[in-house]
Amino acid sequence: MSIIEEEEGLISRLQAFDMSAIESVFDQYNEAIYRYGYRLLGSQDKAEECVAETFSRFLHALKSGKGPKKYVRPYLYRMAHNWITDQYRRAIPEDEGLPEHHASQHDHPEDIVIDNIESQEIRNVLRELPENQRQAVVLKFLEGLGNQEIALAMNKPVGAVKALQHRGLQTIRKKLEVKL
Amino acid sequence: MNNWENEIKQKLEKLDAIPERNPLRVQSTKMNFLSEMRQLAGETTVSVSRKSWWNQLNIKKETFSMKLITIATILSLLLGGGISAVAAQDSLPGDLLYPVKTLVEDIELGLATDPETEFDIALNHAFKRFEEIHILIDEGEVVGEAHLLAWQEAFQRALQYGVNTEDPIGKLLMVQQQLKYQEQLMNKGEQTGVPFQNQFERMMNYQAGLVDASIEDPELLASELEFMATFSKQYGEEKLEDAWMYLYMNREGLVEGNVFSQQTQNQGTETQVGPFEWMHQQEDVLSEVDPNLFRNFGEDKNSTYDHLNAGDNDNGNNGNNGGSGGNGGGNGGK
Repeated sequence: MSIIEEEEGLISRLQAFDMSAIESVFDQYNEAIYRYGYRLLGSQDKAEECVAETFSRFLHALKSGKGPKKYVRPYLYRMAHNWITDQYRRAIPEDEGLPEHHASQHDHPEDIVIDNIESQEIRNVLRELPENQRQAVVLKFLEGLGNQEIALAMNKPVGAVKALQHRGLQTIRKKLEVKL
Repeated sequence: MNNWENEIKQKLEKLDAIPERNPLRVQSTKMNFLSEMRQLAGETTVSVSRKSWWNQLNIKKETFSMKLITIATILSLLLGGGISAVAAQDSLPGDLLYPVKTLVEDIELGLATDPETEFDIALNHAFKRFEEIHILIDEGEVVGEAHLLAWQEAFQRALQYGVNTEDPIGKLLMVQQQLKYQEQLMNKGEQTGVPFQNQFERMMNYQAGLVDASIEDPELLASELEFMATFSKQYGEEKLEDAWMYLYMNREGLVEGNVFSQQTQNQGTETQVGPFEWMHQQEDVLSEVDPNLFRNFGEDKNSTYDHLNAGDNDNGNNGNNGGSGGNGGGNGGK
């Protein structure tokens, strides 16, 4: 896959704490990590915090000789995921209120409300998923990563990732049925 | 693929709508990231603990006992002088009610308890000082050095409060934006070519340089603010004002070899920020500055500038990391 090939030359520069390489990683992936954070947490503030924390941890990992050994993107998603999971654990385990919504001129108030409710419902269901299933589902269906990359992000074989996605979708279905 | 699977995926797609990010926040996150990266790389040489230098700043913040007095003042204003306080909000420097306006502002700032609010208020006050100057210019009134210095003081105060918040770079970016806006407004106005306007332009340019350089490295701004506080304590506020004036007038001739440009050269990276002259590098020159040079600058601008530019100002390359001046201790509040 092209992303994986592109990153191969990058790793040694990152390990040498080459600042221009590190900055390029930030430029390339901060937006994706923001989206990932927003989708799972439903708050712009939290999503920005997710970006800041993920990349701060990334810096410290590189500095202490850790950091990605082969691929950058899956590594960053893993770090972001760990931070988000911490947030889930800290949060009150009740359903959250409606998330921020940024209306466009064409939005009808009732559509906004319905969309918001549905989004929050699905976000709450995702939150209730076992961690592995959530990660496998979100990376695949929301972030659009390939299964090979997800396998790298999760440190699991591709077959296990596919199984987790399938089980994840089934769990979502069950939970939505209960809610509806 | 099963129907129900598609249905679930469609529901998941609803999470696809991501609101647009706040550009300031994006920039701030990146700047913080770069700053942390440089720190980890060992490139940041100035390591002043935020709290330690902050305590030494000469910021005009009221103490608790002062707060009691301000509460009493507010009550008296509300009961007896409420109308004056409201009316004073539109007053301009030189107006009878202007001191009431600044008093109300001091009270407003004095009552703020968290750094974020303090910063917001201070930035708002800085903008008010700008508006006053702008209105005076529009009305063809005389703008004196005192007005310009009041603007600068409010501006510096906003910087000081900004650096004390949790997100100093984010706050500096807000200051930068406001400064750009002020510059735009100034450029829209009629260019009268009168000395104070040139002077104001120089001040704005200098402050813009300070803010730009500080966004790259807030620790250096911390060091600079600390230096100013110590300088003011040692030589008095008037001397600090003279020092400012000296820098404003000499900046164009003194931009070589400062800390900031050296750092960026070492990194081998391009920067959009132009070279900036840090005040603490000029310590020796500034302590010798003759205040008489700055009197009546508006009346005899050219000769004043000529004189200054001919002066010995070639010490920009001394590599002295001047923040060391800030070991005076104490909180220097007045």
